[in-house]
Amino acid sequence: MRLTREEKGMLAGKHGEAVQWAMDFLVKVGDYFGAANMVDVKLVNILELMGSSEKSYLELIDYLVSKKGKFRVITTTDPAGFDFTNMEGMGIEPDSYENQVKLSDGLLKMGALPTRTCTMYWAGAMPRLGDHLAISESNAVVMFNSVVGARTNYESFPSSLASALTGKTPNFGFHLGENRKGNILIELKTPMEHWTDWDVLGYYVGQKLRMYEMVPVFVNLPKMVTTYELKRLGATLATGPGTIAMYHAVGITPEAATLEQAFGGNKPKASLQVTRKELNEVCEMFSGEGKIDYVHFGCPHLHLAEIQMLAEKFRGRKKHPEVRVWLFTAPATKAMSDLAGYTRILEDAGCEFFAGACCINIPVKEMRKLFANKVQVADHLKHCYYAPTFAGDINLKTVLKPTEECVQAALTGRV
Amino acid sequence: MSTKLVLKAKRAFGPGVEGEALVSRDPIHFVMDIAPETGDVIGVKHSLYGENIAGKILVIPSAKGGVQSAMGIAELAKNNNSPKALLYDRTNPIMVQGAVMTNIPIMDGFDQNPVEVVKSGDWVKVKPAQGIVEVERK
Repeated sequence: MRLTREEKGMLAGKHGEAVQWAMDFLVKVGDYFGAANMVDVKLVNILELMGSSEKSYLELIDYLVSKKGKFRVITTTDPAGFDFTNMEGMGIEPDSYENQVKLSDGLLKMGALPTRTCTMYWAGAMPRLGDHLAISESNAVVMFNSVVGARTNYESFPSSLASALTGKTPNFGFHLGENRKGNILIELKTPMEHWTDWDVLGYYVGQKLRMYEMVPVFVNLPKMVTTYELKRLGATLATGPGTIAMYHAVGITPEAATLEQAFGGNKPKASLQVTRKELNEVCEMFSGEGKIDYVHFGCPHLHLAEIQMLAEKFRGRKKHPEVRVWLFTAPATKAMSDLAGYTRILEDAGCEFFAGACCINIPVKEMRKLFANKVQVADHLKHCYYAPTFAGDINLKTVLKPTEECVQAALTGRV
Repeated sequence: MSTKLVLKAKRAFGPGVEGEALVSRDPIHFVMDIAPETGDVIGVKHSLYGENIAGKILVIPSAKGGVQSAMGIAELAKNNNSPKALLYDRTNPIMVQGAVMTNIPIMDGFDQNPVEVVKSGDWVKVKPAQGIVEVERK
């Protein structure tokens, strides 16, 4: 890879050991993918949760803090494992708290902004068309690449730290215009009936493509699609084996004013038609009925408009006594919800807010206590896919239902 | 008599190693499908459910998961349960970042789909510097 004088200096240790570690890491990844050079990044997002990999996260953060690492660009953070202002709601134990504080403090010391959300695009991170980023949050990778037209690959904890410390990322994948052209045509042949249909559409397409290099081009998406519906579509394109980083929606996203622009001269490798039948097949995989224990909203985090709608539905009502109703959103969005009065309405109905927390990455020990042998219903598919798996085999059953039916389930205790 | 097969990869990283192949029909998520403290495959719906990946040359069709899988690889290494090498038909940057962090060899973009031509139990020599793997079947 061709490095500038400054980058060579970083690699040689002239900017300290943390930067040297970071540049060495980025060069190795860049060499693997045949990157010709580094590009400057304007925004980085880093994970602030650990799942079952606590030892590895803490060891890396300890090392970089001990070497006095400092972030050079605006660096936001993903959700933490729990809400610092509502720890009793999840029964967070002292050792889990201490580990989270070690990670969070380390990130703050190096200069991160504690946005604590997977929807940092609604919380202070607004890049422009063509900007290079290093985003460690798959749904936001898809949002930034597709809806904003900024450029980022999938980044993990170490690579996003490396980019924050150097301000660089290797120039391959979705940083290069040629890889951003569409190569698969997706024709939507059914109206979207509710928000959860967007989750289902993304999951169906992601599972069909299963390849990072695939860039689906959607035609016939409704022009009035909202940002929180596109959140759902992007999140599930990147769920499980989906591994999609970018799509175009003709007439909607900035690099796809026309079908021709979306494909950029590429011939589609294949085309898929999505009808109600395909969407129903996905729903069948997440179906279920009977008594439930939890209702989860917000995976990715809720937009203020989603909270507003939930407040309208729950206003003056009470959730079923044996059900817990959990809402996940960004601390910034929660603050707006507080001011707007939505929080009060929802809490009066018995709903519980977890701001800045990830519903599928609560510390493992607590997750086992809370969710073993339980049934959750959710209106976000990403939650239904991952929640049963991140604490080992705990026999947690998840059921996907549209938002209205989730509200009903919260009131009746059943689906 | 043993037969020998040579696969050539477009992309490669890491030191040369050799070991026994374990071929997965499904993609692997290194947080949700694997227990870091044992290396056991715990994803109940996974085609390798009940197997152990520690010390194996893992042959995998494609990447799985958003961005957390890299640290799943790191946590396996921390517990001395990491696979010896990762051979993908197609991978994504997260798996490569996980491999770079732990210095585990990784290769992808082969001239033949390794999931189809390698069998579990084959002896595999992984040579990233030359961009090849040699597969021996007893």
